[in-house]
Amino acid sequence: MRALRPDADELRVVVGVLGRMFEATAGLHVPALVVAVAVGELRDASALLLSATLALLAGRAARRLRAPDDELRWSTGMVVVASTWLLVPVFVALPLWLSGHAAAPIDAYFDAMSGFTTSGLSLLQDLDHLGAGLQVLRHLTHFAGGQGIVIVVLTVLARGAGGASTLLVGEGRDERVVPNVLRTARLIYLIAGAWAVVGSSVLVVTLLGSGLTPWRALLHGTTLFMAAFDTGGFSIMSSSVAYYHSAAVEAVLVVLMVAGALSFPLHWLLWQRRVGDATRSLDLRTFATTTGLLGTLLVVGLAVHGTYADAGALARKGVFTAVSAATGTGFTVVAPQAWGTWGQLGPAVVVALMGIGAMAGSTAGGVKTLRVGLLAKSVLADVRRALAPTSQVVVATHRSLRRTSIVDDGQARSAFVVTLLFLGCYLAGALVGVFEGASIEAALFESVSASANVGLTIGVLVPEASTLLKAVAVVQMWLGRLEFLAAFALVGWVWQLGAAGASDVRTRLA
Amino acid sequence: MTRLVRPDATDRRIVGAYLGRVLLGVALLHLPAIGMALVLGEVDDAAAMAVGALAATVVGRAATLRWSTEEALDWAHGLVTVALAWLVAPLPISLSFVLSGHFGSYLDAYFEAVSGLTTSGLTMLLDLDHLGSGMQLLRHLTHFAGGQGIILVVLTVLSVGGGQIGTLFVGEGRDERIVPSVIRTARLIYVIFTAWALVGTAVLWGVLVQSGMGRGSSLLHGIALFLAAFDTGGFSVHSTSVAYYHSGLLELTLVPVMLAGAVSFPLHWDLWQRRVRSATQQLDLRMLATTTTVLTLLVLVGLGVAGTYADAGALTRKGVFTALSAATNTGFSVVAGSTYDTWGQLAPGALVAIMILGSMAGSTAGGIKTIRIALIAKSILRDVRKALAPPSSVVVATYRTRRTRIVTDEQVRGAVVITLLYLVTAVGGSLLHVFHGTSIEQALFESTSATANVGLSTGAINPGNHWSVKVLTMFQMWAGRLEFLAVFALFGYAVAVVRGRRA
Repeated sequence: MRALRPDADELRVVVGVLGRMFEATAGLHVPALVVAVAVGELRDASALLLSATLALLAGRAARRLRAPDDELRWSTGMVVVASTWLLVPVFVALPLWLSGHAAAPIDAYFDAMSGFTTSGLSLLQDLDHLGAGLQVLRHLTHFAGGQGIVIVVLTVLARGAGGASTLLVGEGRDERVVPNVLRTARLIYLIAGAWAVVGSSVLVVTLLGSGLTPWRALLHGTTLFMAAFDTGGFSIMSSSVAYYHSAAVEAVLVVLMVAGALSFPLHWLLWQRRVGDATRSLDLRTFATTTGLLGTLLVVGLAVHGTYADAGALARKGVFTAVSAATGTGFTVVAPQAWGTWGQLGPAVVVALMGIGAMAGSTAGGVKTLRVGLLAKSVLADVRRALAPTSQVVVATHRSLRRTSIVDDGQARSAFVVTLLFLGCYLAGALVGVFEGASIEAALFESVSASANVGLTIGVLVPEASTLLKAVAVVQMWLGRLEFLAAFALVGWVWQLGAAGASDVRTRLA
Repeated sequence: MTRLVRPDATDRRIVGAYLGRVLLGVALLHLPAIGMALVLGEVDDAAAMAVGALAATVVGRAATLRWSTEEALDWAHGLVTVALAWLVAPLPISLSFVLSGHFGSYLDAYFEAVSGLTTSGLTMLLDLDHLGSGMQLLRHLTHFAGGQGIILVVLTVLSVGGGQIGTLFVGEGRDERIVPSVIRTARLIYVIFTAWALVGTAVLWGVLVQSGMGRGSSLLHGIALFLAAFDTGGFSVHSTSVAYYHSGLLELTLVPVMLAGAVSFPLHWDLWQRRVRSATQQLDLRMLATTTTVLTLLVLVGLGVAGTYADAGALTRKGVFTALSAATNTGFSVVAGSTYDTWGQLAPGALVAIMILGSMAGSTAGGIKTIRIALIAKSILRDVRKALAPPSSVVVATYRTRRTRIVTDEQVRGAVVITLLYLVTAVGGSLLHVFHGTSIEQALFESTSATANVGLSTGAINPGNHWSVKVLTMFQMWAGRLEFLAVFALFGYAVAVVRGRRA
């Protein structure tokens, strides 16, 4: 059976919406440009100006094709989302490449993709001397990509067979895409804005307390906030959070990372002070359970291996790393070469934490705890069903945010298929890493870190890595961020487009 | 959530009575082995096996008498009985084993029996090459009992509940009573098995005689090899496994037998009735052919890259035999365990993938099973189609078993859950090996081999292991063999016994 062929109108709709995204990307350059000009980084400023102009021009050109908004259908929405995350990074890669801090164009694109997917892996060289303007741009990609993906998950992806997201949103939904997206976006920016004001202020004050100059405290505080709350993991210094040598900074960041790993519908409940409803949700309980158990295992593993002599240092490194991995942030207080002293169990637990990820409907990546929770519920129901008399009906129920509902087979199926796709993506990436000569532990670590949009690194994804490895990681970050289905939809759509084009040509020749 | 109903005396009676019958069956299994030991004058071994057989008879008889019941076995009882059967049946067999003096401990002997009955083929024997022929026969007969037994169970008992794959084979209008259905299926399985056994053993015997082995020992080796290959078990009479024979012809003969063992019995039945076309159209078979071909090529490429074998002929022979041994979950080896070190990283990696995927459902092979992979793939494709189709259109995926059917959400959910459980058990189990100092590559290899009931080993599983590794490996073989659901049912039953509500 063939799906319907996309026609010229649909192509115009997709290009038109992409145009808007390009214009928004140009907007993202403005704060970075202001900072660059203010601190006198004129070369970076001109690069930023060039790429902003190009983004604006591309956007304008694309929007000339644009069809009215209400023609955007949900199925087209997936195609738009997948192509947005593929094309928008180009305009951020350009100034990074022009700055001379990226060894190859793919390195710059890798960093931009890493930013928009809130991964936090970086291939930039001499990060410590990158201009303040470009630093702001990098961290803004976390904010744009992070808040962006939450909107997309709650609207566009919820419509597809994604399934797990439909558990987050209400049933009575509008058939039109754009009004829905706008309503959700307003809510999200309200919450993110509140956190941004409070979080950045606290960070700035803490950094001032630990001895940074006011200007640097402001720059570091705001960028750290964006990287933490959007579970991104970029940092201004190449030694990441270890640079600050400050337990206070780490403590504040732990709170922000956990906040970033909570789903926005849950934030909304908390905002409305419905704490009871919030704490009963399956997703939150699974997140707390898996993170608690694996975090404990990590600390025990480190203690058994004897990596850190001092119990305080052990707990501090262990807990921070566990939270950074579980929330998919990727801040590190461990240098890549120090992983070697973590034994075998420590990194393995970190891989498990990264792979599971945090709550659905947050900026965290990975399988998501909601899916893990559903899986457990579903297996338990199978056991009950097997033991119950034939005539008895056994159903699994789960508590989403507002009410208890039945886990239906369709939801469970989609949730598990996505889980399996994540596992497949982790393993396939690891296989490529092994093929490129990395040890299997290191290859698996990097593969999971990229696919689950975490950003911790054990030293395989470095500027010297092969182009194949970098390209695979880019694809993994993209696939993992979109939870596969939207990416597959884009591939299917392009395929159909090609088939339609070919048949047009054939008709004309005949 | 409602609590489970606490099992009452009747439930315990039913389960106990059927376990008694299982034990009587195990006693019967000893008879040919005792006969062979007596003929060859291995009196000590014969006595050891007589003790095991006697114990099984006494306990089994006592159980059937004590708990004799007219109550019908329902599906819940069936699941619990199956899960317990694979734990109880190894008890008398391991008694015979340990009395032979070839095992370091009772735990090792029990491990051996579990490995045999789950058609895995991992071994804990200390001096395999000098084990008596009667004992060898007993070991290989456990493959037969466990292998033919599991097919019976998959096609009948396990086809209820979440696994659901079994129902793909059997008709829709099913009897609610379990026993008639089991007997009907058993008859069919034994017809096919006997035909294969006669032809397969005869050919193997001929090949072995031709390669210069005496007639008597050729017959023993032929029978043992046939049982281990057709039941995708992987035990062997010599510690060097199939490499012992140094015979390309023998390896060539074993390949079709292993493949036959990895083919589902319903498909055998189709072939038996000359419905070849219907057989080749089946999704399961096509998926098996695809994954096996692709991954075998990957193994060969990996070996080529690693430069393990200078000679292309040796490379192909070792590579293809090992890949097929892994794909059919047999576990015959033509490579010494320590040699895997020279295989590079890619080839063992591909082997791990082959092992965990497994073969066709309804065969003696273990692992995830190709039908599950195929159903999941179909379902993902359907999702993409659905995402691109207009909201009002209905998109369904279909697959072919005997006839074309629609892939339902429930089937896919069941398939994915089982797939994930296999992956988690294999990967999670490897952590314990790592904890005990094995490298992660080896740990993953051994853990997967156990979970998928394969039996290939790099040598990391051996009598010197910590007891926790042995127990874990037994659990993996047991849970993998029963495809988890029966195991969970047993746990649920145990919980219900302790704190269930009264009916």
